[in-house]
Amino acid sequence: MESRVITITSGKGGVGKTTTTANIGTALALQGKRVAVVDSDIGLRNLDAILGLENRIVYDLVDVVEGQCRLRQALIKDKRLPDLYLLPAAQTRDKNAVNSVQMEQLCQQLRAEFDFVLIDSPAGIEQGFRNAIVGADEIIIVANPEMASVRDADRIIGLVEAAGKPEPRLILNRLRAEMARRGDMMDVADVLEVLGVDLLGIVPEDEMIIVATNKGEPIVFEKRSRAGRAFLHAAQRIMGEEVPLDEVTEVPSLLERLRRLVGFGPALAEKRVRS
Amino acid sequence: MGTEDTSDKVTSEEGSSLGREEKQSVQGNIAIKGTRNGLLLTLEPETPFSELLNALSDRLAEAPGFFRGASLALDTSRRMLRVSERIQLEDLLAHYHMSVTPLEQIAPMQRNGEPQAVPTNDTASPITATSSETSQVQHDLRETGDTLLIRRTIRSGQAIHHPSNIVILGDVNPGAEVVAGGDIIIWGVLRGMVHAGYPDDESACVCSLQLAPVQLRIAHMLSRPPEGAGVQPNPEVARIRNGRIVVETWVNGRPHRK
Repeated sequence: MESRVITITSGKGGVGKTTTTANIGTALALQGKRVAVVDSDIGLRNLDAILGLENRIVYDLVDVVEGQCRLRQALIKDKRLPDLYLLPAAQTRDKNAVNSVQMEQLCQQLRAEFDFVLIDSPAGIEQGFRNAIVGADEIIIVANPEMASVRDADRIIGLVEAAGKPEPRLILNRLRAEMARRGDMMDVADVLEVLGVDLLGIVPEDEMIIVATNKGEPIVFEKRSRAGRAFLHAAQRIMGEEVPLDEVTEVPSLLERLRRLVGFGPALAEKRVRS
Repeated sequence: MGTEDTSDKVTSEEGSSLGREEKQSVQGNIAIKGTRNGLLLTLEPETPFSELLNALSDRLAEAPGFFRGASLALDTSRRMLRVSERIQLEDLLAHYHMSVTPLEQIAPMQRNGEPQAVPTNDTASPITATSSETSQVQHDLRETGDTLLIRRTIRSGQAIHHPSNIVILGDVNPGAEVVAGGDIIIWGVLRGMVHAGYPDDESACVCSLQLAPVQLRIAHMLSRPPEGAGVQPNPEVARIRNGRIVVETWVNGRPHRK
């Protein structure tokens, strides 16, 4: 199989790039793919913690680039999945420790070993961002349904296109369907209207993510989590499977479910009209 | 992808990479030279334009980091460009966030009685130049109908500057900036900042299928949409009437008067 290098980026910080990288990487590995997740956020590394691997780091990305160690020595095998590896970022250096040529070479090396190489980009549009996208075949943009995030995503899409990469795909993260329905939050259509790119997934806001992140357990392992399922679906779409985009539909409240049971809920009425 | 990376590396190697550009120029039919005023692009007079464009595209792709954001002067002393050719060139340069600068100081103006070939002045310049000479040039361009057509969405952080009219087939997103010496017509949604009639043409107008700008400027005037006002889902046109910018619905092919 052709190996694919995919960069996850956003422009704005705190929208869920690292969580997305960890979860899509884990989900792809769960599907039997050989996956490397690379933390390119040098100086502010977090991907190791979200995967629960921070205490295993010996060598890092900068050590590999500078020739202090071999690539294999720096790759950390995941504690749950045999096909998932992490290449951690250096914490004591900064973004300028690596240049674009080195980063591209690193991507080439990783290609030889893995089906998927996922690169977690730092926030911003400077050297770190440019390093993160230089070797990528595909770009995934993570955005939250809010103005600042969408605007930064728009900027990033422009930069990605200017760099000659194919049009990025979007993961809309932390959507609160109930708020969007009330008009208190941007909904999927609002975001797509501005960005005009293809949607790879919609991840609902989910408190379980906070717990999972703190424990160092990716949420895709948690079968009850809707966010976890959304990430799993996004990974399946990356692999080319057709999965309907049904993440938006909110779990109905108890009252709503009762109403439907009795037979005059709004959802049921709608169905009758359609049929 | 690129051969140049960190900015300090680029500066330190500037001399050598420019030397390399000159060596390659014979083969590629184009030359990019470093001059006192920045980069100077010379095009071979006999080669078909499409070949020149391909050669330039390859050259830029070799070192995108090096050329990014640079402004390029076009030497037209040996070769004139048609309007359509120049627009293609601009489109290519815009991909690398590059702009074309006027070069009166490098090549003398040579366009007496040449209405369709506009050799020199170009984007980005009028924003810094405010002399009467500039506005004279802009006026000429409006008359010659030298309109810039762009077939894509202008995204945040991207800026389009043009001394004449601009037509955009796509949206103008928040954080984007479009500045025209003449009219601005947007076949899409306007959500960013536009400035028509720069610097002082009060007859200029802005039209779009949906007018929802962050800020709209015409000539020396500035307006913001009223706080809390909803956006009309109709084509609208903004122009100066009686000393203020007014927005009117576009009905039956002309601005609707209330």
